[in-house]
Amino acid sequence: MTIEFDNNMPIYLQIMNYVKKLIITGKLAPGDKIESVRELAAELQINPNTIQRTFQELEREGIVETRRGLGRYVTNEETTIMRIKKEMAGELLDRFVVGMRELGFREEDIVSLVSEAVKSKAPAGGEGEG
Amino acid sequence: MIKLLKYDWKRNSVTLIMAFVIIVLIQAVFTGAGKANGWDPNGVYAGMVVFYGMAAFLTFLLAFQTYHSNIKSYSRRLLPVPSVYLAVTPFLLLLACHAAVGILFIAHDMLFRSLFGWGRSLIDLMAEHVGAAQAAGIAATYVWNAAVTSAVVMFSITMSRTVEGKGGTWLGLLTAIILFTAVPWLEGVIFPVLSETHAQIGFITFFANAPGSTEFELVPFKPIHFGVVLFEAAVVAALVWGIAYLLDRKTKL
Amino acid sequence: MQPILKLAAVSKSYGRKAALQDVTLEAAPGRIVGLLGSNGSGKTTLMKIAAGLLRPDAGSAEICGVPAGRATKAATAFMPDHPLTEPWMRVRDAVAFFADFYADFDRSKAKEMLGFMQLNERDKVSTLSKGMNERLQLTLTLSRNARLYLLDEPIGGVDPVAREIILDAIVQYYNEDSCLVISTHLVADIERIFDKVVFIKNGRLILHEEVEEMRLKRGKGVTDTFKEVYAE
Repeated sequence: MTIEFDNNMPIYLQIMNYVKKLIITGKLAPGDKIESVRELAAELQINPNTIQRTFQELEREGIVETRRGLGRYVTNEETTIMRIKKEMAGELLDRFVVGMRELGFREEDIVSLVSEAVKSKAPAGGEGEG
Repeated sequence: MIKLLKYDWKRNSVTLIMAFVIIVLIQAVFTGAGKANGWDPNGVYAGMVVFYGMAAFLTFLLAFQTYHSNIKSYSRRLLPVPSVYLAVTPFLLLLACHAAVGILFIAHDMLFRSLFGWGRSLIDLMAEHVGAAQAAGIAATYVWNAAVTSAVVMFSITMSRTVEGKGGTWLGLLTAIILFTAVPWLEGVIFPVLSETHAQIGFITFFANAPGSTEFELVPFKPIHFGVVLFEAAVVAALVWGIAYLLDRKTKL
Repeated sequence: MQPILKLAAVSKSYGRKAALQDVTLEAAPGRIVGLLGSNGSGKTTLMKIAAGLLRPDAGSAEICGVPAGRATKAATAFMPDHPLTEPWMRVRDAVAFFADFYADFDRSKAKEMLGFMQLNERDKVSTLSKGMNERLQLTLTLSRNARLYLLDEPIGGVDPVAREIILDAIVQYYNEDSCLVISTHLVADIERIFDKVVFIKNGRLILHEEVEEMRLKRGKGVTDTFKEVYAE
C-alpha cells in the first residue's frame, strides 16, 4: 500500500478513504483479512493509534469486522459494499455538480456533457462503472 | 559497582597493557645495561625506583582522566547507579594498577639483588628495620594517602564541571589548591604534636626518597595516629558526599 | 490511567537565562508525543529533566508517579544528541554494556534490530558513519523495554535513507504500554507518527494539541502550523 498523504487533512480519514476504495474496486475482496494495526502502521509509517482509529471508524460503518482471536476482515455483506460505493460516488458527484454550477452550467448541459465525456473517455484499467 | 569497574578497565585496557609492557622493557634494558656496563648499583637502583615512582604517578593521572571522562559521558551518567560509584571505580582501578606496579617492583627488586649481589635494596632495608605489622601499616598509609588525594582531586574535577568553560577549570584548580593547603594546615592546628613527623597528606610518600646519594634514607613513615586518620576520614566523607551531591544536582553534561 | 510523564509548572534557568518557564504537560501510555521548537527553545532541557539528569528549579517532574531522578533512570530510555557509546567499543560491546546495566534490556530484540539496521556486531563504533551511528543509538535505546522513551533529534543530520529506516524502527518497535517523546525540528518527515505535539518557544509551552484534531479544526497539519506559530 502506498498512499500520498496530505499532512493538512486528518490522516485517519485519508486511510479510511483509501481502504474503502480498495474494497470497492475489489482489490480487497469481501471476507479478505486486513493487515494488523502494527503491520499497517509500520508499512505506512503512521502512528498506530491513528490506524486503530481508522479501523474503529470502519467497524462502526460496518465495512470491517473483528473476528475474535483471528483479526480484522472485510465485511461479506455485499449490500454494505454497495452502500459505500454509492456514498463515495455521491461525494464525487456532489463536488462535481457544485463545481459545474459555479461555472454557470445548467442541468441539461451538465447531463449531456457527462454523457459525451463518458463515451469518449476509455475506462481506465478495466474499472467499469456499475 | 564491579560492572562499572569492568568497563573502566575495558576503556583503558589497551593503554594499561601497553604501559605495563613498556615499563617492563625499559626496566629490563636499564638494569641489563647497568649490569653489563658495571654501573654503580646504587645509581641503577635509584633510577629504577624513580621510574617506578613515575609509573605510579602516571596511573593517578589515568584514574583522574577516567573519572573526568566518566562524568562527561551520557553512557555513564544515564546509568541507574548511585553517582558516587563513578568516582569509586577509577580509584579501585588505581589501586589495582598500583598493586601491579608494586608486585613488579618487588619482583624486580629480588632480581636486582641476585644480579648485583647487593644488600641495599628497599626490601633488604625494610627487612632490617621494619616488622610485618609496620609493613602492613605502611601499605595502609599508602592506600589511605591515595584515597585522600583521589577524593580531593575528583572533588575538584567535579567542581570544575559545575560551571561552563574556562571558569569551570579555574574553579576546579582553585578548589584543589584550597583543599591541598587547608587540610594539612588544619591538621597542624588540631594535632600540633605530629605536624613535624606527618608527611603532607595526599602526596605519595612511598617514593619520596632522596636518591642520588650513596646512602639511602628512608623517610620514616608515621605510625598510624587515629586522630589524624579520623579527621582525614571526615574530610574524605565530606568530599565524597559533595561529589555525589554535585553529580546529582549541579554538574553539566 | 496514570500518565507516564508528568511535568507540573517546571522551570529551569542557567544563570540568568531561563531555559524553561512554567511548563506543564502530561503524556499517557501508548502515546507518541512530538516535542517541537527551534534550537535553543528548551526542548533538550525538558528532556534532560524528564531523564533525571537535571533537577528543575521549580515545579515537579514525575515518571509513573515517581520524581524524576536516579530512581527513574531504570524506567527511562533517553537518547541524547550525543553518543551513548564509548570510542573503544565495538557494536557487541555496546550491546553488552546495555545488557549489563539495564535490567529491561532485551538482547533478542537488539539482535533483531541490529539486523534490521544492517549493523554488524564486530563493527567498531568509531568507524561508523553518522547515519549508522544514529541507527546504533536507536537500537540500543529501543531494545530496552522502558516506560518512557525520550529521543532527542533522532533524525537530525542524517541521510534520507537512514531517516526512513529510523522512522520505520520507531513505529515497528513501539510499545503500547510505553510513552515515546520525540523532539525534532524536521517536522514534515515525522509528523504522521505523532499522536500529539507540544510546541516550545523561548522556554514556554505555547501549544499542546492532538494532531488529528489540529488537522480537522485548523485544516493545517503540524508543519504548516509550526511555520505559522514560529514565523515571527
